Amino acid sequence: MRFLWRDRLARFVQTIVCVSCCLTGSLAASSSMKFDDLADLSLEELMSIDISTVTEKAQNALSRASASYTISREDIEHSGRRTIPEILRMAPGVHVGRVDNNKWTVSLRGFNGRFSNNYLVLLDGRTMYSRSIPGINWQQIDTIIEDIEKIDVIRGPGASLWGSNAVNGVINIMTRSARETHGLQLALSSGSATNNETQFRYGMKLGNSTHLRLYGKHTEHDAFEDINGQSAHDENRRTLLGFRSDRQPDDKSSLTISGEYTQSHPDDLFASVNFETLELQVAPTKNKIDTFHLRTHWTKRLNDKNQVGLQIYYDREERDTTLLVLERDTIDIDLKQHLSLGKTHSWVWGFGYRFSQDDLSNTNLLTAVPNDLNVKVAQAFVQDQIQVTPNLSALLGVKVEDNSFSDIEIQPSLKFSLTLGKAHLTWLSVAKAVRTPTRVGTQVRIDIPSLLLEPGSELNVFPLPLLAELAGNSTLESEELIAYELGHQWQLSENFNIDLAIFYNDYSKLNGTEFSDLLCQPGNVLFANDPACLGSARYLETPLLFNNSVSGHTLGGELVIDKQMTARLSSEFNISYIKYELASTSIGFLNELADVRNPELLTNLKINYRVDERWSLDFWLRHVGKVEGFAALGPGFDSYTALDLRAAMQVNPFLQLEIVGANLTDSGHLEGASELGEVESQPIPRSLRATIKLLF
Amino acid sequence: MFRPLHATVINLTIAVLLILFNTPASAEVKNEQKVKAAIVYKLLRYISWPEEAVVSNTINLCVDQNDPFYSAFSNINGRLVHKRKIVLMHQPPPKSTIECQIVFTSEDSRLDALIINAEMKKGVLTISDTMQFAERGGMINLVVKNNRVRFKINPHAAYRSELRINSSLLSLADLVETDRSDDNSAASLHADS
Repeated sequence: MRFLWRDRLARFVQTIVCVSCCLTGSLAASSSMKFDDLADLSLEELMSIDISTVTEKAQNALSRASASYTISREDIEHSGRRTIPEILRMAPGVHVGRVDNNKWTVSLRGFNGRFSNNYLVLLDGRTMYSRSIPGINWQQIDTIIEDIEKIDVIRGPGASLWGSNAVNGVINIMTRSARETHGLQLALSSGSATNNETQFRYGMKLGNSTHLRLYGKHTEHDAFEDINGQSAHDENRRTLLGFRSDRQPDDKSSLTISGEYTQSHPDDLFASVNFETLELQVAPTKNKIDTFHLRTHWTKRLNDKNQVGLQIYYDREERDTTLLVLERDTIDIDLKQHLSLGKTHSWVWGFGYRFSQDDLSNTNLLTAVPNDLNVKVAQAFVQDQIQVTPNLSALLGVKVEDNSFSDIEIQPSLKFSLTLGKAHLTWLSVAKAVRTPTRVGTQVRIDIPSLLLEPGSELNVFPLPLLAELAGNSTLESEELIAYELGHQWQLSENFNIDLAIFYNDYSKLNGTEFSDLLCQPGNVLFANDPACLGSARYLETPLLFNNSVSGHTLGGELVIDKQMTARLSSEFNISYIKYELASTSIGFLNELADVRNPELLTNLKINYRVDERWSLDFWLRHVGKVEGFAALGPGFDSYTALDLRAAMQVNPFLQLEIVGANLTDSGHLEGASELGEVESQPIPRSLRATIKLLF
Repeated sequence: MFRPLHATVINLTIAVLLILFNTPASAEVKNEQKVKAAIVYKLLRYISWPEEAVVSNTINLCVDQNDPFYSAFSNINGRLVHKRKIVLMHQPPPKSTIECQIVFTSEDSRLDALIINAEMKKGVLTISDTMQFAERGGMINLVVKNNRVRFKINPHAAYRSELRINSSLLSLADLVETDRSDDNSAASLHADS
């Protein structure tokens, strides 16, 4: 079986390679800039030209016309934060809750949770979304923070371009080209209640047009203190080693090869059900996660109007944790072409194939049937950008995807953008996106610690303890979203921008659960057949079968006001709002979960002040609204206001010192919880951290 | 530890490399070099040379003949700045005794250390796109940031060479300070607009 797919894969690759070679061979036109044209530009205009050879097409109104937010390298530096989920707190529409020292819940436009699964995360073109385990594992999304070029946070469906599961948005993290990271950089960072971190990066030039960087990082997170002042047993040790090389033999082509190995030991205070005492027991547990990947990305600009890109990567994950014991290999191939036809049409099309082979072992909490699974996703997309009039453009796109868990998915999108003068841009879009079922939804049973219900409690009318078990349902279908968005961007001046987006997301077939057969345990006696079994049983068990019973809508918006006051002083304010209206047609647990896991309002205020050539001061205040509780999940979280302050000093060109105080306003607040209740939420403490960076 | 899938990956990598190296290397000037050359041309109008440095009615731009930028600069040869003609000279000091008003060296040339260390005559503007050129005492350092060409200026180095840089150029640059003992120089530079 394995040989069969490999043969097929090999043939597929050969086809792609041949297609690419043909395309490469048939071109002749040159796409160079003319020097005379350049000499006519002003100095400022010259400084704004993108000199990269084969990056995406030139910025135009349409490409700005979306609810997207870019976190630049400068933003990351000014945030003083050293993990990606912490940095994402600044983005509008993104709710980040920290569960403990090594776990986060991150969501876009609602549906927050540790296993959030309705948006995509890409790190240098590799998807971090797993269809084996549900969703995104933020513990593993890390790199050298200084080498991140930017993070694009795109709110709203991106499925017509990025594929299934880009339902509520896409977070696209890109690292810097090796040509921009020459030299040796060392960073040491240490702080209270956070971590000790040591990292190096060495970048060099190999020959005329090849650049290489090698990097490594080791972090040691100490455990937080729980509410009683005891160790929360959530230590994390993590080591990362990687390289990236960029070759650019001429203006028209580029080749990137990168690879990385990581090993992490994120420990937990894990809650599980003791079947002897029928009590919830909480015990420290040790985990280990190894990952490895190798990626190549090649682009070629055939002429001004024709550009091809090919990406291939291999990814391996070995996970030995209390909840999941998993081995997974993934290989992914993507080909993309940009084509401009005439003055009005600009096409992008592409296709790709991903093959994943996973082996999910049974644990005390989880049973998978089957344990081994091959997951295949084949997809193709096409997108046409039409310049209707000089002010009005339209974007039509569709993605067709065939995957192992659902039928063929067709995900179209339509967008219009209208510019009014130089200062105003209005856009309107309608798009469909789906979230395909995963192994957990279809083939896995998990005991949910949070659903051990005592007799007489609100949700348990029986005289015995009731234990619920999440049960996969092989007939589960994809969740669907039709999203309607409206946005307006107003550039009041060069340094003053306002960006507003409003959305109405209409969801159907969202995952819910329903009670299935109630069983008297031990003995597996069906309660419906023999109600008298209650007398002899010790507890009751009910599988909670996944279904598609939840539907409804969310309504909300985000406003970003960005002002550069002077060359040295800049500020940004953003506010996000969301309101849910969801209902389930079945009776089960967790069906109203989405309502209660997000605050209605999120607010950020950031001020960055460059005092002089040496000193830089940063202020970051954020307010997170109250998160309602839900009976089975315990109480929610109070609203909180957090303040971060940072002072950095560039002592000389080679040495930078930084001090960051985070969460300065309170001594500890709860802000995130796992929806399964398998790990305890810990108070997030105030912290102080110092970092030394050396660059030679 | 890893399964044979590994081998497939290596084969694919080789396939990609083959495609790449099949492509004939291009000898033409890169866009980046053209943009950098255009920026050098544009920023010359913000520089004024001391009287004694001007020996003829030309601004001599000295670039090593083997420097990949040489052909990019041929596009500005003969153009006028401050009513003076730019003349591209193909040898930089210290090899040559030609009077240079500007010396340029690129990251692909190994001359920049020599240029910084050489006892430069007054009135010679040094420009490069090597790493840390301004920090090491060079005057104008072209750098690529977010795929865009920016420049760093070391005003003290320029001042020591008695060059005057217009403040509107300084406002577009990242300033690099290597000599803080001489604070008056910065003040005088800023005042000169």
